[in-house]
Amino acid sequence: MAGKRERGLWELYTKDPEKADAEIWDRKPKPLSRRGFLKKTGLATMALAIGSQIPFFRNMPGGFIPLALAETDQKRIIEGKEGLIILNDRPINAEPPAHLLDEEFTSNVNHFVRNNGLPPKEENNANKWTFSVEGEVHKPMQFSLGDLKNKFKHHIYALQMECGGNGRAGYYPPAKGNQWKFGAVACSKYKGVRLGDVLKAAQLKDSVIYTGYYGADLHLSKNPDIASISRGTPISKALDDYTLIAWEMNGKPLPVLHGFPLRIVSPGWPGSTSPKWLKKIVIRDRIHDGMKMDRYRVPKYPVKPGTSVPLEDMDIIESMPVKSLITNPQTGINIKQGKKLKIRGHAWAGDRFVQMVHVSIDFGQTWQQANLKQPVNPYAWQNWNANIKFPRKGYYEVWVRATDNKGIMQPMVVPGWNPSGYINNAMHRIAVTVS
Amino acid sequence: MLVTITVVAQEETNYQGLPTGEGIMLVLESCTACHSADIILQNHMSRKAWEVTIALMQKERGMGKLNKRDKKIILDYLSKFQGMDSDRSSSKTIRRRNNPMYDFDYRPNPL
Repeated sequence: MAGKRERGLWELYTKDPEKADAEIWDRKPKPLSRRGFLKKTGLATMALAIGSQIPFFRNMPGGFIPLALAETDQKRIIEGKEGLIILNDRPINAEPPAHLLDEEFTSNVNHFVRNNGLPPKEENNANKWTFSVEGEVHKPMQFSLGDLKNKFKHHIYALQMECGGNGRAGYYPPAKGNQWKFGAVACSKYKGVRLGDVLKAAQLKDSVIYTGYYGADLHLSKNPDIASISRGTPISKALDDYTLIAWEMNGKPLPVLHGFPLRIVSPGWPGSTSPKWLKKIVIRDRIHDGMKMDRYRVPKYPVKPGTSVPLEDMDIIESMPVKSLITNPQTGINIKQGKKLKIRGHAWAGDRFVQMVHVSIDFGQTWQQANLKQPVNPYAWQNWNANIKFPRKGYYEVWVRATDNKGIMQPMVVPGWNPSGYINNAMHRIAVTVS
Repeated sequence: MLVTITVVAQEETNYQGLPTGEGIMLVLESCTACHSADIILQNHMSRKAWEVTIALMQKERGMGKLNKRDKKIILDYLSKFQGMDSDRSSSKTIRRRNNPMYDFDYRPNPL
Protein backbone atom coordinates (compact mmCIF):
# COMPACT_ATOMS: atom_id res chain seq x y z
CA MET A 1 0.00 0.00 0.00
CA ALA A 2 1.30 3.41 -0.97
CA GLY A 3 0.97 4.94 2.46
CA LYS A 4 1.80 8.50 3.13
CA ARG A 5 3.33 9.82 6.25
CA GLU A 6 2.40 13.37 6.85
CA ARG A 7 5.04 15.57 8.25
CA GLY A 8 4.65 19.09 9.44
CA LEU A 9 6.26 22.12 7.92
CA TRP A 10 8.40 22.27 11.00
CA GLU A 11 9.85 18.84 10.52
CA LEU A 12 10.52 19.48 6.87
CA TYR A 13 12.24 22.75 7.61
CA THR A 14 14.34 21.18 10.34
CA LYS A 15 15.66 18.57 7.95
CA ASP A 16 16.52 20.75 4.95
CA PRO A 17 15.30 24.33 5.12
CA GLU A 18 16.24 25.36 1.61
CA LYS A 19 14.76 22.29 0.06
CA ALA A 20 11.59 22.95 2.05
CA ASP A 21 11.50 26.52 0.73
CA ALA A 22 11.80 25.24 -2.80
CA GLU A 23 9.26 22.43 -2.44
CA ILE A 24 6.57 24.29 -0.59
CA TRP A 25 6.85 27.81 -1.89
CA ASP A 26 8.84 27.47 -5.09
CA ARG A 27 11.15 29.82 -3.24
CA LYS A 28 14.84 30.26 -3.94
CA PRO A 29 16.74 32.84 -1.91
CA LYS A 30 19.21 35.09 -3.68
CA PRO A 31 22.39 33.08 -4.05
CA LEU A 32 24.85 35.50 -2.48
CA SER A 33 22.95 36.87 0.52
CA ARG A 34 20.83 33.73 1.12
CA ARG A 35 18.00 36.13 1.80
CA GLY A 36 15.01 37.45 -0.07
CA PHE A 37 13.38 35.80 -3.02
CA LEU A 38 15.10 35.07 -6.35
CA LYS A 39 11.70 34.89 -8.07
CA LYS A 40 8.58 36.63 -6.83
CA THR A 41 6.42 33.51 -7.24
CA GLY A 42 7.44 32.08 -3.90
CA LEU A 43 6.75 35.39 -2.21
CA ALA A 44 3.24 35.58 -3.61
CA THR A 45 2.42 32.05 -2.50
CA MET A 46 3.83 32.64 0.94
CA ALA A 47 2.02 35.96 1.34
CA LEU A 48 -1.27 34.35 0.32
CA ALA A 49 -0.77 31.53 2.76
CA ILE A 50 -0.03 33.94 5.59
CA GLY A 51 -2.84 36.17 4.48
CA SER A 52 -0.84 39.36 4.41
CA GLN A 53 1.98 41.05 2.63
CA ILE A 54 5.51 40.57 3.96
CA PRO A 55 6.88 44.10 4.15
CA PHE A 56 10.48 43.10 4.85
CA PHE A 57 10.59 40.15 2.49
CA ARG A 58 13.96 41.23 1.13
CA ASN A 59 15.50 40.55 4.51
CA MET A 60 13.74 37.29 5.16
CA PRO A 61 16.37 34.57 5.62
CA GLY A 62 16.22 31.52 3.38
CA GLY A 63 14.80 28.46 5.09
CA PHE A 64 12.75 30.54 7.50
CA ILE A 65 9.23 29.48 8.41
CA PRO A 66 6.81 32.36 8.75
CA LEU A 67 5.51 32.19 12.30
CA ALA A 68 1.94 32.44 11.11
CA LEU A 69 2.34 29.06 9.46
CA ALA A 70 4.68 27.43 11.94
CA GLU A 71 1.89 27.55 14.48
CA THR A 72 -0.63 25.69 12.37
CA ASP A 73 -0.61 21.95 11.90
CA GLN A 74 -0.89 22.27 8.16
CA LYS A 75 0.56 19.13 6.64
CA ARG A 76 -0.77 18.89 3.14
CA ILE A 77 -1.24 21.59 0.58
CA ILE A 78 -3.81 21.84 -2.20
CA GLU A 79 -2.46 23.58 -5.28
CA GLY A 80 -4.14 26.96 -5.55
CA LYS A 81 -5.39 26.69 -1.93
CA GLU A 82 -2.13 27.04 -0.08
CA GLY A 83 -3.34 28.41 3.24
CA LEU A 84 -6.34 26.12 3.70
CA ILE A 85 -6.62 23.47 6.36
CA ILE A 86 -7.49 20.18 4.72
CA LEU A 87 -10.28 18.28 6.44
CA ASN A 88 -10.45 15.56 3.85
CA ASP A 89 -8.54 14.85 0.65
CA ARG A 90 -10.96 12.45 -1.03
CA PRO A 91 -13.36 14.12 -1.53
CA ILE A 92 -11.55 17.44 -1.10
CA ASN A 93 -12.85 19.51 1.81
CA ALA A 94 -10.77 22.38 3.12
CA GLU A 95 -11.29 25.64 5.00
CA PRO A 96 -9.17 28.71 5.73
CA PRO A 97 -8.49 29.87 9.27
CA ALA A 98 -10.54 32.98 10.08
CA HIS A 99 -7.69 35.45 9.51
CA LEU A 100 -7.38 34.39 5.86
CA LEU A 101 -10.93 35.63 5.29
CA ASP A 102 -9.87 39.21 5.94
CA GLU A 103 -10.19 40.35 2.32
CA GLU A 104 -13.23 42.43 1.41
CA PHE A 105 -14.10 39.81 -1.17
CA THR A 106 -12.74 36.32 -0.81
CA SER A 107 -10.05 35.49 -3.37
CA ASN A 108 -10.12 32.11 -5.06
CA VAL A 109 -7.12 30.89 -3.08
CA ASN A 110 -8.80 31.56 0.27
CA HIS A 111 -12.30 30.26 -0.57
CA PHE A 112 -13.28 27.08 1.26
CA VAL A 113 -13.82 23.90 -0.75
CA ARG A 114 -16.66 21.47 -0.07
CA ASN A 115 -16.85 18.60 -2.50
CA ASN A 116 -19.14 15.60 -2.29
CA GLY A 117 -17.66 13.69 -5.20
CA LEU A 118 -14.75 13.91 -7.62
CA PRO A 119 -14.46 17.01 -9.84
CA PRO A 120 -14.79 16.17 -13.55
CA LYS A 121 -11.54 15.65 -15.41
CA GLU A 122 -9.69 18.60 -16.84
CA GLU A 123 -10.41 17.53 -20.43
CA ASN A 124 -13.88 18.98 -20.04
CA ASN A 125 -13.69 21.74 -22.54
CA ALA A 126 -15.65 24.86 -21.73
CA ASN A 127 -16.53 25.36 -25.41
CA LYS A 128 -18.14 21.94 -25.62
CA TRP A 129 -19.90 22.17 -22.26
CA THR A 130 -23.69 22.04 -22.40
CA PHE A 131 -26.38 22.01 -19.79
CA SER A 132 -30.10 21.43 -20.01
CA VAL A 133 -33.31 22.67 -18.45
CA GLU A 134 -36.05 20.05 -18.32
CA GLY A 135 -38.98 18.79 -16.26
CA GLU A 136 -42.01 21.01 -15.67
CA VAL A 137 -41.29 23.45 -18.49
CA HIS A 138 -43.10 24.08 -21.78
CA LYS A 139 -39.82 24.41 -23.71
CA PRO A 140 -37.08 22.06 -22.52
CA MET A 141 -33.79 23.63 -23.56
CA GLN A 142 -30.14 22.89 -23.95
CA PHE A 143 -27.53 25.60 -23.67
CA SER A 144 -23.86 25.90 -24.48
CA LEU A 145 -21.73 28.28 -22.49
CA GLY A 146 -21.77 30.57 -25.54
CA ASP A 147 -25.62 30.53 -25.71
CA LEU A 148 -25.79 31.47 -22.10
CA LYS A 149 -23.41 34.38 -22.53
CA ASN A 150 -25.10 35.62 -25.72
CA LYS A 151 -28.77 35.24 -24.85
CA PHE A 152 -29.01 36.65 -21.36
CA LYS A 153 -27.98 39.79 -19.57
CA HIS A 154 -24.78 39.52 -17.48
CA HIS A 155 -24.63 40.45 -13.81
CA ILE A 156 -21.73 40.70 -11.39
CA TYR A 157 -22.52 40.41 -7.69
CA ALA A 158 -20.58 39.74 -4.52
CA LEU A 159 -22.43 36.79 -2.97
CA GLN A 160 -21.95 35.10 0.36
CA MET A 161 -21.91 31.37 0.52
CA GLU A 162 -21.66 29.26 3.65
CA CYS A 163 -21.54 25.52 4.10
CA GLY A 164 -24.57 24.31 6.08
CA GLY A 165 -22.13 22.40 8.32
CA ASN A 166 -19.84 25.36 9.06
CA GLY A 167 -19.20 25.24 12.82
CA ARG A 168 -20.09 21.55 13.14
CA ALA A 169 -16.96 20.99 15.26
CA GLY A 170 -18.64 22.96 18.05
CA TYR A 171 -21.43 20.45 18.70
CA TYR A 172 -21.41 17.84 21.42
CA PRO A 173 -22.22 14.97 21.19
CA PRO A 174 -20.22 15.29 17.97
CA ALA A 175 -22.25 15.38 14.79
CA LYS A 176 -21.27 13.16 11.89
CA GLY A 177 -19.43 14.66 8.93
CA ASN A 178 -16.56 16.98 8.17
CA GLN A 179 -15.67 18.87 11.32
CA TRP A 180 -15.78 22.42 9.97
CA LYS A 181 -14.80 25.22 12.31
CA PHE A 182 -15.31 28.85 11.26
CA GLY A 183 -13.89 28.98 7.75
CA ALA A 184 -16.53 27.38 5.50
CA VAL A 185 -17.91 30.75 4.47
CA ALA A 186 -16.90 33.22 1.79
CA CYS A 187 -18.05 36.16 -0.27
CA SER A 188 -16.61 36.27 -3.78
CA LYS A 189 -17.64 38.18 -6.88
CA TYR A 190 -19.47 36.08 -9.43
CA LYS A 191 -20.31 36.91 -13.00
CA GLY A 192 -23.14 35.12 -14.70
CA VAL A 193 -26.76 35.32 -15.75
CA ARG A 194 -29.83 35.21 -13.58
CA LEU A 195 -31.11 31.66 -13.20
CA GLY A 196 -34.59 33.18 -13.33
CA ASP A 197 -33.99 34.61 -16.82
CA VAL A 198 -32.97 31.16 -18.06
CA LEU A 199 -35.95 29.43 -16.43
CA LYS A 200 -38.36 32.00 -17.86
CA ALA A 201 -36.97 31.29 -21.34
CA ALA A 202 -37.83 27.63 -20.81
CA GLN A 203 -41.38 28.70 -19.86
CA LEU A 204 -42.25 27.28 -16.47
CA LYS A 205 -45.51 25.38 -16.08
CA ASP A 206 -47.98 26.34 -13.34
CA SER A 207 -47.19 23.10 -11.53
CA VAL A 208 -43.66 24.18 -10.61
CA ILE A 209 -42.63 24.21 -6.96
CA TYR A 210 -38.99 23.15 -6.70
CA THR A 211 -35.74 22.80 -8.64
CA GLY A 212 -33.35 19.84 -8.87
CA TYR A 213 -29.73 20.44 -9.85
CA TYR A 214 -27.24 17.97 -11.28
CA GLY A 215 -23.50 18.48 -11.69
CA ALA A 216 -20.84 16.51 -13.53
CA ASP A 217 -18.93 15.50 -10.40
CA LEU A 218 -18.47 11.77 -10.18
CA HIS A 219 -19.66 9.78 -7.19
CA LEU A 220 -16.79 8.67 -4.97
CA SER A 221 -17.49 5.04 -5.86
CA LYS A 222 -16.95 6.07 -9.51
CA ASN A 223 -20.35 4.56 -10.31
CA PRO A 224 -21.80 6.91 -12.96
CA ASP A 225 -25.35 5.85 -12.04
CA ILE A 226 -25.20 7.46 -8.61
CA ALA A 227 -25.27 11.25 -8.27
CA SER A 228 -22.73 12.49 -5.76
CA ILE A 229 -25.17 15.20 -4.75
CA SER A 230 -28.34 16.61 -6.31
CA ARG A 231 -30.11 19.30 -4.39
CA GLY A 232 -32.46 22.13 -5.28
CA THR A 233 -34.52 24.96 -3.82
CA PRO A 234 -38.11 26.21 -3.83
CA ILE A 235 -38.75 27.94 -7.15
CA SER A 236 -38.95 31.32 -5.44
CA LYS A 237 -35.27 31.12 -4.51
CA ALA A 238 -34.35 30.07 -8.06
CA LEU A 239 -36.22 33.11 -9.41
CA ASP A 240 -34.53 35.52 -7.01
CA ASP A 241 -32.61 38.26 -8.86
CA TYR A 242 -29.40 37.32 -7.08
CA THR A 243 -29.43 33.61 -7.86
CA LEU A 244 -26.98 33.21 -10.72
CA ILE A 245 -25.65 30.69 -13.19
CA ALA A 246 -22.03 31.84 -13.00
CA TRP A 247 -18.92 31.20 -15.08
CA GLU A 248 -16.58 33.72 -13.49
CA MET A 249 -15.30 34.09 -9.95
CA ASN A 250 -13.36 37.21 -9.03
CA GLY A 251 -12.83 38.10 -12.68
CA LYS A 252 -11.46 34.73 -13.76
CA PRO A 253 -13.07 31.56 -15.11
CA LEU A 254 -14.27 29.40 -12.23
CA PRO A 255 -11.45 27.26 -10.83
CA VAL A 256 -11.93 23.50 -11.24
CA LEU A 257 -12.56 23.13 -7.51
CA HIS A 258 -15.31 25.75 -7.72
CA GLY A 259 -17.22 24.22 -10.61
CA PHE A 260 -15.48 25.06 -13.88
CA PRO A 261 -17.00 25.92 -16.25
CA LEU A 262 -20.45 26.58 -14.78
CA ARG A 263 -22.14 26.63 -11.39
CA ILE A 264 -25.24 27.92 -9.67
CA VAL A 265 -24.91 30.38 -6.80
CA SER A 266 -27.89 30.44 -4.41
CA PRO A 267 -26.53 33.09 -2.06
CA GLY A 268 -27.23 32.97 1.65
CA TRP A 269 -28.43 29.36 1.54
CA PRO A 270 -26.42 26.25 2.42
CA GLY A 271 -23.61 25.86 -0.12
CA SER A 272 -25.09 22.53 -1.25
CA THR A 273 -27.82 24.50 -3.06
CA SER A 274 -25.10 26.10 -5.22
CA PRO A 275 -24.07 23.10 -7.34
CA LYS A 276 -20.83 23.08 -9.28
CA TRP A 277 -20.03 21.68 -12.77
CA LEU A 278 -23.69 22.29 -13.67
CA LYS A 279 -25.10 19.89 -16.25
CA LYS A 280 -28.84 19.73 -15.70
CA ILE A 281 -31.68 21.61 -14.05
CA VAL A 282 -34.83 19.60 -13.55
CA ILE A 283 -37.92 21.64 -12.69
CA ARG A 284 -40.12 19.70 -10.29
CA ASP A 285 -43.80 19.70 -9.32
CA ARG A 286 -42.81 18.40 -5.88
CA ILE A 287 -39.93 18.83 -3.45
CA HIS A 288 -36.84 17.43 -5.15
CA ASP A 289 -35.80 13.94 -4.05
CA GLY A 290 -32.22 13.85 -5.38
CA MET A 291 -29.14 12.58 -3.54
CA LYS A 292 -28.74 14.25 -0.15
CA MET A 293 -32.11 16.03 -0.27
CA ASP A 294 -32.75 14.13 2.96
CA ARG A 295 -29.67 15.81 4.46
CA TYR A 296 -29.18 19.50 5.25
CA ARG A 297 -32.18 19.36 7.57
CA VAL A 298 -32.71 20.35 11.19
CA PRO A 299 -35.40 19.27 13.68
CA LYS A 300 -38.71 21.19 13.57
CA TYR A 301 -38.52 21.52 17.37
CA PRO A 302 -35.61 21.81 19.83
CA VAL A 303 -34.19 18.45 20.86
CA LYS A 304 -31.99 17.27 23.68
CA PRO A 305 -28.41 16.80 22.41
CA GLY A 306 -27.90 13.27 21.15
CA THR A 307 -31.53 12.63 20.23
CA SER A 308 -32.19 10.77 17.00
CA VAL A 309 -34.93 12.55 15.08
CA PRO A 310 -37.12 10.90 12.41
CA LEU A 311 -36.93 12.41 8.93
CA GLU A 312 -40.56 13.55 8.99
CA ASP A 313 -39.74 15.75 11.96
CA MET A 314 -36.98 17.55 10.09
CA ASP A 315 -37.17 20.73 8.01
CA ILE A 316 -34.96 21.53 5.02
CA ILE A 317 -32.56 24.38 5.85
CA GLU A 318 -33.27 27.46 3.74
CA SER A 319 -31.65 30.80 4.65
CA MET A 320 -28.54 30.52 6.81
CA PRO A 321 -28.67 32.39 10.16
CA VAL A 322 -26.98 35.66 11.16
CA LYS A 323 -23.26 35.31 11.85
CA SER A 324 -20.00 37.23 11.99
CA LEU A 325 -16.24 36.76 12.07
CA ILE A 326 -13.24 38.66 13.39
CA THR A 327 -10.74 38.41 10.56
CA ASN A 328 -8.09 40.82 11.83
CA PRO A 329 -6.09 40.54 14.00
CA GLN A 330 -5.47 36.83 14.15
CA THR A 331 -6.31 35.17 17.44
CA GLY A 332 -3.44 35.01 19.94
CA ILE A 333 -2.12 38.53 19.34
CA ASN A 334 -0.02 40.34 21.98
CA ILE A 335 -0.29 44.10 22.27
CA LYS A 336 1.23 46.81 24.43
CA GLN A 337 -0.84 48.38 27.17
CA GLY A 338 -2.34 51.76 26.35
CA LYS A 339 -2.60 51.13 22.63
CA LYS A 340 -6.00 50.92 21.01
CA LEU A 341 -6.61 47.79 18.98
CA LYS A 342 -8.30 48.05 15.60
CA ILE A 343 -10.34 44.98 14.86
CA ARG A 344 -12.42 44.18 11.81
CA GLY A 345 -14.32 41.45 10.09
CA HIS A 346 -17.49 40.55 8.22
CA ALA A 347 -21.10 39.86 9.13
CA TRP A 348 -23.86 38.25 7.10
CA ALA A 349 -27.38 36.94 7.61
CA GLY A 350 -28.44 34.59 4.80
CA ASP A 351 -31.40 36.20 3.02
CA ARG A 352 -31.48 39.09 5.48
CA PHE A 353 -29.33 42.12 6.20
CA VAL A 354 -27.15 42.68 9.23
CA GLN A 355 -28.46 45.57 11.29
CA MET A 356 -25.84 45.87 14.02
CA VAL A 357 -22.54 44.42 15.14
CA HIS A 358 -21.31 44.60 18.73
CA VAL A 359 -18.03 43.62 20.35
CA SER A 360 -17.25 42.72 23.96
CA ILE A 361 -13.96 42.35 25.81
CA ASP A 362 -15.44 41.20 29.13
CA PHE A 363 -17.15 37.91 28.26
CA GLY A 364 -20.33 39.59 27.19
CA GLN A 365 -20.97 41.79 30.23
CA THR A 366 -20.74 45.01 28.27
CA TRP A 367 -20.95 45.60 24.56
CA GLN A 368 -19.64 48.28 22.24
CA GLN A 369 -21.28 48.95 18.89
CA ALA A 370 -19.00 48.50 15.89
CA ASN A 371 -19.06 50.52 12.66
CA LEU A 372 -21.00 48.50 10.15
CA LYS A 373 -20.99 49.07 6.41
CA GLN A 374 -23.84 48.44 4.03
CA PRO A 375 -23.39 45.47 1.70
CA VAL A 376 -22.21 46.31 -1.85
CA ASN A 377 -25.33 44.47 -3.04
CA PRO A 378 -27.96 42.29 -1.35
CA TYR A 379 -26.43 38.95 -0.25
CA ALA A 380 -22.91 40.39 0.00
CA TRP A 381 -21.40 40.16 3.44
CA GLN A 382 -20.98 43.40 5.36
CA ASN A 383 -17.69 44.72 6.68
CA TRP A 384 -17.44 46.02 10.22
CA ASN A 385 -14.65 47.49 12.33
CA ALA A 386 -14.10 48.75 15.86
CA ASN A 387 -11.44 50.41 17.98
CA ILE A 388 -11.00 48.77 21.33
CA LYS A 389 -9.33 50.03 24.47
CA PHE A 390 -8.23 47.60 27.15
CA PRO A 391 -8.39 48.95 30.73
CA ARG A 392 -5.36 47.07 32.10
CA LYS A 393 -2.88 44.32 31.41
CA GLY A 394 -4.13 40.79 31.02
CA TYR A 395 -5.68 38.09 28.89
CA TYR A 396 -8.81 39.08 27.02
CA GLU A 397 -11.18 37.43 24.61
CA VAL A 398 -12.78 39.73 22.11
CA TRP A 399 -16.24 38.55 21.13
CA VAL A 400 -18.30 39.68 18.16
CA ARG A 401 -22.07 39.48 17.84
CA ALA A 402 -24.20 40.41 14.83
CA THR A 403 -27.93 41.20 14.86
CA ASP A 404 -30.04 40.88 11.71
CA ASN A 405 -32.77 43.23 10.46
CA LYS A 406 -35.46 41.17 12.23
CA GLY A 407 -33.71 41.63 15.57
CA ILE A 408 -32.32 38.09 15.70
CA MET A 409 -28.82 37.92 17.16
CA GLN A 410 -26.08 35.34 17.39
CA PRO A 411 -26.11 33.10 20.47
CA MET A 412 -23.27 33.16 22.95
CA VAL A 413 -23.19 29.37 23.18
CA VAL A 414 -23.55 26.73 20.49
CA PRO A 415 -27.19 26.88 19.41
CA GLY A 416 -29.78 24.11 19.13
CA TRP A 417 -28.04 20.77 18.80
CA ASN A 418 -29.15 18.89 15.70
CA PRO A 419 -28.21 15.39 14.56
CA SER A 420 -26.03 16.48 11.63
CA GLY A 421 -24.49 19.54 13.25
CA TYR A 422 -25.76 22.27 10.93
CA ILE A 423 -26.12 26.06 11.28
CA ASN A 424 -23.89 26.69 14.26
CA ASN A 425 -23.83 30.48 14.40
CA ALA A 426 -22.33 30.92 17.88
CA MET A 427 -20.18 34.02 18.28
CA HIS A 428 -16.60 34.07 17.10
CA ARG A 429 -13.85 35.14 19.51
CA ILE A 430 -10.19 35.97 19.43
CA ALA A 431 -7.68 35.84 22.27
CA VAL A 432 -5.75 39.07 22.98
CA THR A 433 -3.00 39.46 25.57
CA VAL A 434 -2.20 42.97 26.76
CA SER A 435 1.19 43.40 28.40
CA MET B 1 -6.00 22.86 -14.59
CA LEU B 2 -5.16 19.82 -12.57
CA VAL B 3 -6.36 19.57 -9.03
CA THR B 4 -3.43 18.32 -7.07
CA ILE B 5 -2.67 17.86 -3.45
CA THR B 6 0.94 17.88 -2.42
CA VAL B 7 1.69 15.61 0.46
CA VAL B 8 4.64 17.34 1.92
CA ALA B 9 6.57 14.17 2.50
CA GLN B 10 6.07 10.52 1.63
CA GLU B 11 7.43 7.81 3.81
CA GLU B 12 6.64 4.39 5.11
CA THR B 13 3.07 3.19 5.32
CA ASN B 14 1.04 4.56 8.15
CA TYR B 15 -2.44 3.52 7.07
CA GLN B 16 -3.59 7.06 6.27
CA GLY B 17 -3.25 8.01 9.90
CA LEU B 18 -5.65 5.35 11.19
CA PRO B 19 -4.53 3.85 14.48
CA THR B 20 -2.99 0.40 14.15
CA GLY B 21 -5.13 -2.30 15.65
CA GLU B 22 -7.07 -5.44 14.95
CA GLY B 23 -9.25 -5.04 11.87
CA ILE B 24 -7.38 -2.12 10.35
CA MET B 25 -6.74 -3.85 7.01
CA LEU B 26 -10.41 -4.66 6.62
CA VAL B 27 -11.37 -1.07 7.47
CA LEU B 28 -8.91 0.27 4.89
CA GLU B 29 -10.21 -2.13 2.28
CA SER B 30 -13.90 -1.54 2.98
CA CYS B 31 -13.95 2.18 3.70
CA THR B 32 -11.07 3.88 1.95
CA ALA B 33 -11.71 2.48 -1.52
CA CYS B 34 -13.99 5.48 -2.10
CA HIS B 35 -13.07 8.08 0.51
CA SER B 36 -9.93 8.79 2.47
CA ALA B 37 -9.50 7.97 6.14
CA ASP B 38 -9.78 11.68 6.99
CA ILE B 39 -13.54 11.48 7.37
CA ILE B 40 -13.26 8.46 9.69
CA LEU B 41 -10.66 10.21 11.86
CA GLN B 42 -12.82 13.32 12.14
CA ASN B 43 -15.74 11.40 13.59
CA HIS B 44 -16.40 9.80 16.95
CA MET B 45 -19.58 7.79 17.31
CA SER B 46 -21.22 5.03 19.28
CA ARG B 47 -21.17 1.52 17.88
CA LYS B 48 -24.83 1.90 16.97
CA ALA B 49 -24.13 5.12 15.05
CA TRP B 50 -21.24 3.50 13.16
CA GLU B 51 -23.59 0.66 12.23
CA VAL B 52 -26.12 3.16 10.90
CA THR B 53 -23.32 4.87 8.97
CA ILE B 54 -22.25 1.62 7.34
CA ALA B 55 -25.87 0.91 6.39
CA LEU B 56 -26.09 4.36 4.77
CA MET B 57 -22.84 3.75 2.86
CA GLN B 58 -24.28 0.49 1.58
CA LYS B 59 -27.67 1.92 0.72
CA GLU B 60 -26.64 5.00 -1.22
CA ARG B 61 -22.89 5.36 -1.43
CA GLY B 62 -21.92 2.20 -3.28
CA MET B 63 -20.37 0.22 -0.44
CA GLY B 64 -20.45 -3.53 -0.96
CA LYS B 65 -22.10 -6.15 1.22
CA LEU B 66 -20.29 -7.36 4.30
CA ASN B 67 -20.58 -10.78 5.86
CA LYS B 68 -21.45 -10.94 9.55
CA ARG B 69 -17.91 -11.64 10.67
CA ASP B 70 -16.35 -8.78 8.70
CA LYS B 71 -19.00 -6.36 9.82
CA LYS B 72 -18.29 -7.26 13.43
CA ILE B 73 -14.54 -6.77 12.95
CA ILE B 74 -15.11 -3.35 11.39
CA LEU B 75 -17.55 -2.27 14.09
CA ASP B 76 -15.19 -3.51 16.79
CA TYR B 77 -12.41 -1.43 15.27
CA LEU B 78 -14.48 1.72 14.79
CA SER B 79 -16.07 1.65 18.21
CA LYS B 80 -12.70 1.00 19.85
CA PHE B 81 -10.67 3.66 18.05
CA GLN B 82 -13.36 6.10 16.90
CA GLY B 83 -15.85 5.68 19.71
CA MET B 84 -17.50 8.54 21.51
CA ASP B 85 -14.73 9.05 24.03
CA SER B 86 -12.35 6.27 23.21
CA ASP B 87 -9.27 8.07 22.10
CA ARG B 88 -9.45 11.76 22.70
CA SER B 89 -6.64 11.76 25.19
CA SER B 90 -4.36 9.15 23.68
CA SER B 91 -2.20 8.56 20.63
CA LYS B 92 -0.05 10.63 18.38
CA THR B 93 -2.87 12.11 16.36
CA ILE B 94 -4.40 13.78 19.37
CA ARG B 95 -4.45 17.29 17.92
CA ARG B 96 -6.06 16.18 14.77
CA ARG B 97 -8.65 14.06 16.49
CA ASN B 98 -9.37 16.42 19.30
CA ASN B 99 -10.20 19.00 16.69
CA PRO B 100 -10.96 21.78 19.14
CA MET B 101 -13.14 24.38 17.56
CA TYR B 102 -12.63 26.60 20.53
CA ASP B 103 -8.91 26.71 21.07
CA PHE B 104 -9.10 29.19 23.93
CA ASP B 105 -8.36 29.26 27.61
CA TYR B 106 -12.06 29.63 28.35
CA ARG B 107 -14.46 27.05 26.94
CA PRO B 108 -17.65 28.56 25.53
CA ASN B 109 -19.83 26.94 28.13
CA PRO B 110 -18.19 24.18 30.10
CA LEU B 111 -21.20 23.41 32.31
